[in-house]
Amino acid sequence: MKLRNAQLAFVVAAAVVVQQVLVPHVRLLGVYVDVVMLAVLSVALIAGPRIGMVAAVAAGLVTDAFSPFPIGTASVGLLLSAALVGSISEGADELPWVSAGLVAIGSIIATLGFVLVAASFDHLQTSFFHVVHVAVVLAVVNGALAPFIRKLVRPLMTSGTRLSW
Amino acid sequence: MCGAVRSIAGTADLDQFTLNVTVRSSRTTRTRRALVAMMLLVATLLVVDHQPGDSPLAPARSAVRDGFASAGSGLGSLWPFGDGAEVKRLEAENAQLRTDLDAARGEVAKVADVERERSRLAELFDIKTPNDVPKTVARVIKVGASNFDDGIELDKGTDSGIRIGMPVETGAGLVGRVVQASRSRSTVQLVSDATFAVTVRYADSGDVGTASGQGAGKNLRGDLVALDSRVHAGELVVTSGTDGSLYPAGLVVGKVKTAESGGTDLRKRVDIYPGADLHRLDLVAVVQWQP
Repeated sequence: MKLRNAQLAFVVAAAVVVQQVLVPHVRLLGVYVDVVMLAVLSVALIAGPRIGMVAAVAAGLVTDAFSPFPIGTASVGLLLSAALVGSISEGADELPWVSAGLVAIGSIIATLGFVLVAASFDHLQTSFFHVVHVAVVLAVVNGALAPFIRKLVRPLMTSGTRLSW
Repeated sequence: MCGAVRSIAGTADLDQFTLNVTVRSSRTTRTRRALVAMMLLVATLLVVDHQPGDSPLAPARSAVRDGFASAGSGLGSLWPFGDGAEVKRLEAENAQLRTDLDAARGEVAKVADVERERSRLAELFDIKTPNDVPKTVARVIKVGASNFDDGIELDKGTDSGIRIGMPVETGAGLVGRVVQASRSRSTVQLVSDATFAVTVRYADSGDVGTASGQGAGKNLRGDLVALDSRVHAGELVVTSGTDGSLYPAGLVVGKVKTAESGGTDLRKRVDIYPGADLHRLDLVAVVQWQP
């Protein structure tokens, strides 16, 4: 259990550091790549919904510490998408396109969840077009990267003790 | 015999199926419970952190930011791409700045005399202007690293006297206001942010109104300007500093680009371009002003 917690913490912390330090330099079609979202969805894909949700809450809370939005804003969307992706992937084949599709759908849900929460707390005013643009680009980028990230995250999550939450 | 074996195998399959369904159902229930519990936790944190005034979660937020700040500054230098393009951009910017500097030197000579007179009058009437308020110079270390937040991060925080709500400017105009501050970092909401608004005065006509952001890369929108007002293109727009304002009077916000009377509108539509170049922010000054 302790080793698994350490592995999960490592994946989340690594994703947050990469997001904060390196990603500000990387934009695709005007949209920042969301490494934290990709990592959380990959964890949910590999380890199931409950561990995915823990990763979502932890990553969301740390991400919010760096943003002007209230703590918890990013967690809601990530939590819902991790629950959905983790639940569906439990009985699904490990085909790359299945991973890609699930992560793409999860990315759209996480983005819309974030926007809804931020807007309902009066912390965000943005155009419908911008939201759709960001959600679609993140879905495509995260979906395309999902099979590779899954391969990268899997050894980190499954080495040592077995996952059994 | 054969039928009996088939019957036993069928019963075993059914038992296995029932077991699978039971395990899956138990897992689903646990997942739902976990989801509800975590949603409640997150909702509680959201409500607590959304409280007006100082959030009880602010110290935790500051600790995380400061912790990552020290680690992040070292890791940031590892990014291997973009340096070549950055050098070229800086060279071009340097050449442009030299040209601008020559032009500005001429203006400084004229302004010095006016400034002497202004200071004498301000002292005589005991008027405080932004020039009299102390400022902290800080470097912009991060620009809008999120898809829904185009704010900037500064390399100084509460240890340097920066507090939430303080205005931030460059010599050319208002950049925004501090919305978060930890010991070594602070976050600034830009004037272009769609949730930003400031009361302004139009320098020539004397009209007072509000200017609000319309999103990254867009001009500000001037509101509450009467139809018969003499607000015109090119007019300087400064903070009004009205009673209770979050900003001192006289900070340059920008210049009027267009001022039009729309069909059925009861007010003029004013388009203001920001004085500060929000796309090329490097060093900024945090005005140590608190209303």
